[in-house]
Amino acid sequence: MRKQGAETRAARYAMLIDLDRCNGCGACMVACAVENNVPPPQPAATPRTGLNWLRVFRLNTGGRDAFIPVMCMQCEDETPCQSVCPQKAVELDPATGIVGQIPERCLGCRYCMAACPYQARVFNWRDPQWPAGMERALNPRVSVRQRGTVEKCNFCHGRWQAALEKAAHDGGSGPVHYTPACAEACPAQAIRFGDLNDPEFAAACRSGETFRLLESLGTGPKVFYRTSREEVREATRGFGEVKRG
Amino acid sequence: MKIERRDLLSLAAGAAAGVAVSPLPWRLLGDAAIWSQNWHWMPRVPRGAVTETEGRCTLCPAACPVKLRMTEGVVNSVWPNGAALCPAGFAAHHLAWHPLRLRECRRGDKSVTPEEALQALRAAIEGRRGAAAVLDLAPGRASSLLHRRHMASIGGAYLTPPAVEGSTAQAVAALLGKRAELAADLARVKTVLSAGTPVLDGWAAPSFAVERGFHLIQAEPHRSRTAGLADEWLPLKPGGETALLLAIGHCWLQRPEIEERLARLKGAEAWRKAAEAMPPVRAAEAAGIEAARIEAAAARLIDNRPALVLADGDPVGGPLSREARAAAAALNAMLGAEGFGIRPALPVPKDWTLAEVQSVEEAADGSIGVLILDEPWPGVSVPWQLVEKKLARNAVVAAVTWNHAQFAGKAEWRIPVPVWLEAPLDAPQPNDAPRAQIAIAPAVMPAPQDVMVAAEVTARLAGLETAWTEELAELVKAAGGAGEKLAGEGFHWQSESGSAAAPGVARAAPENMTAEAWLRAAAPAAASPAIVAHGWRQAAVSPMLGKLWLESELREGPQQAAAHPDLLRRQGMEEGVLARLVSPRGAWPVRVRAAETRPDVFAVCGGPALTLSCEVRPDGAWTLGEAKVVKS
Repeated sequence: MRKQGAETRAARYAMLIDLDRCNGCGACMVACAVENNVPPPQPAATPRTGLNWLRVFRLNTGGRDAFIPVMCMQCEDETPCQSVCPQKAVELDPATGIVGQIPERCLGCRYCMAACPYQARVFNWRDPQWPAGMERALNPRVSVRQRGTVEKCNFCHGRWQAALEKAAHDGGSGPVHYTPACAEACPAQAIRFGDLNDPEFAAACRSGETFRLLESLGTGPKVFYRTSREEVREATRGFGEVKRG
Repeated sequence: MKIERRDLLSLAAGAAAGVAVSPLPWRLLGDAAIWSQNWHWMPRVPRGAVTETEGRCTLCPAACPVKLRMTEGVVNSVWPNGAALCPAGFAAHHLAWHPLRLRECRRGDKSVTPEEALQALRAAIEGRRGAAAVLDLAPGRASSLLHRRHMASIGGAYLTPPAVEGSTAQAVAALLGKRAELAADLARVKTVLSAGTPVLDGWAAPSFAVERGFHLIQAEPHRSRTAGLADEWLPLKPGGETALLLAIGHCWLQRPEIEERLARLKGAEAWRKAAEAMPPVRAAEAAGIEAARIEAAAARLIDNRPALVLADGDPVGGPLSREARAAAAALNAMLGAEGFGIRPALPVPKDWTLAEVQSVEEAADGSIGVLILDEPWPGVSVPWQLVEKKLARNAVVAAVTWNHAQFAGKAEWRIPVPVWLEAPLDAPQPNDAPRAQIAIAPAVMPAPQDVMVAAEVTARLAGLETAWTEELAELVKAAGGAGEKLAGEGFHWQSESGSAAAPGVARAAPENMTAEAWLRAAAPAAASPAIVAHGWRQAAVSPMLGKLWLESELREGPQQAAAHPDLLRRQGMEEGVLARLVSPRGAWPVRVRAAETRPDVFAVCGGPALTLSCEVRPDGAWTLGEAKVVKS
């Protein structure tokens, strides 16, 4: 069995999330925010105004609760956010399959937020703030984003960059192994990160119990979910309604 | 050719149009965007050499092994080292910069030096010989042994908060009249009935147990995180625990194997009388659960052993009533859920003399002249009412604490402590591990100037010449470690199996109960709507954890009140509004959320400050008194 991570630079990074294992602890949300220098919430923050690259929703299906982590789906077909951005601040990287967000180019028009069917993008309504001194604990590999820009999950681009540098330093353009923060943090090992060019990982993503959110839109999301519970699968069918509720 | 004004205007308009379609404005816009990333008020990420080291998170008894990534000696990332980590663990390094952090030594509003504080405390102890005490809010640490040693040398007392986690174990130990421990080994049990104990939220081993698939029946008024993950949620009326547990015992009375086990029980006759008088049909009214569901739970517990009944209450909301704990202990004795393993004691150098462990409940009222409160990290609390009545008139109280809220507000002297990674601090014993443990974090970050751990304060008050770190090193050596490497590398030790004293003081023994007392407790007269306090102890570690309750609805956080939509409608409140929790001891803003709870209950997720304001009922349970949630 191959190690979790990508094998080549020309990759199609993807995630497979096992909803039967996820117990909604929230470790992935906190690890994501710490890794990517997402500021802590303001006291008056709400789920609508909050900054989260990854958000875990609780699904009450009548029996045992289920939880569904939702982040940018890294759509690869007709990427909706990319197609509407007037600034080319959104780019689908052909080398990784990751939809990148470039805050320096972002005008803050939020077309991309309107276009995203997963509502996976968040807007910086104010400049990021940390309690005094806590900026010393920021991740040196990720820049902070200013007020008026949109941000979203990029499968921990800083980690990918570090893995790439390390691979180059070790002598060559060889395989790049890395794991995003959420996948590494998950205590239940519910999040698996890999490359769809890897036949074994691709097969796992296409097994009978996997599905993708709003697959019928044809945007080619690269975050796959797995569950053996039909009621959970059913509850995710109206994902948009779930989220608005 | 004559140039007219119209030509100039055309030129200007053409130029403007041309510039607009040229790259120039876009370039300017892009550059401006880049410049604006560097405004002086924008936080700068740290620069410098990135290094990695290993350690242990000592902010809860789990003491998870972690990897630490640092830039120029400041930790900026915490990761699990071969195991798992909770959300609080990922943000644990933020504690050093927590907005509530106490950074300087104070007397009231005045800044003082630590020496001044120590001199004043020493003078107070000399003036009140024999009346000094330490209240250790995180007992079970190696540092706790240092307190006991220091207090023994000056004839002082070592006090612990009333047991919340582990109180069922204490009740079982008392019930059998011998040193025994509850088989709270979730890796082995098949069925667990939990009366409000947050089994899947904060205990060390739940994720493994869930994966293994034990059957959890959670009985509490509110569909908490544990209730949501449980196989079965019994929406129990507040205070209905005793009725439920007695009714389960009633269902077992006809089983032949019960008689044999019942014979070993102290106070068995009183329990039998109470259980006989509490058939499920009667309990259904008091507990608010259908009789058939009580019978089904009783059958599952006895037929799917090893099984366990937990009635530890909530670490923030407090312990359950003494009667409920005793009823749970009786059920455990009948399930054979005791004595699987006895946690050994920590190794202590032979020449050390230690003060006895005493629950603060056991201390005589008005007996403490000088009280040192050791509050080493967030989330530990105890009702102030419980402490206050133990103080002598004009008692001197010093809080050796990490924050300037909570106990600091009750103390005359406030001495700041180093937090995790600033000193070799250790985690307490886990409540669900069969082995004793010393887990000391390495000191890898610089601490503020005036900080002093509580063990150092008590050592100085005891007039010891040895530094507390050297004493800690002695303990480490007694456990077979290298004391010299303590600060740089930390230390971790787990005992082999052995025998030791059961922790704390057991007060919930059935022998102290009469059938009448049990039946009285089984018919609570709760106000409607009732206020139930609960909480997540680690919630206060970092502001980042607000992502889980402010920026999402994944879990309830401090100052949130969950209520059934019907109750909100009856109270004229809307989802998300700001309301007020009003109790005789204060008022707090709470945000109201519609959630699955009993329709006669507001489940308030409190923080340590709320616990501090609780009252202690005669039966040992903590309560907010005549509290209510009102529109703001």
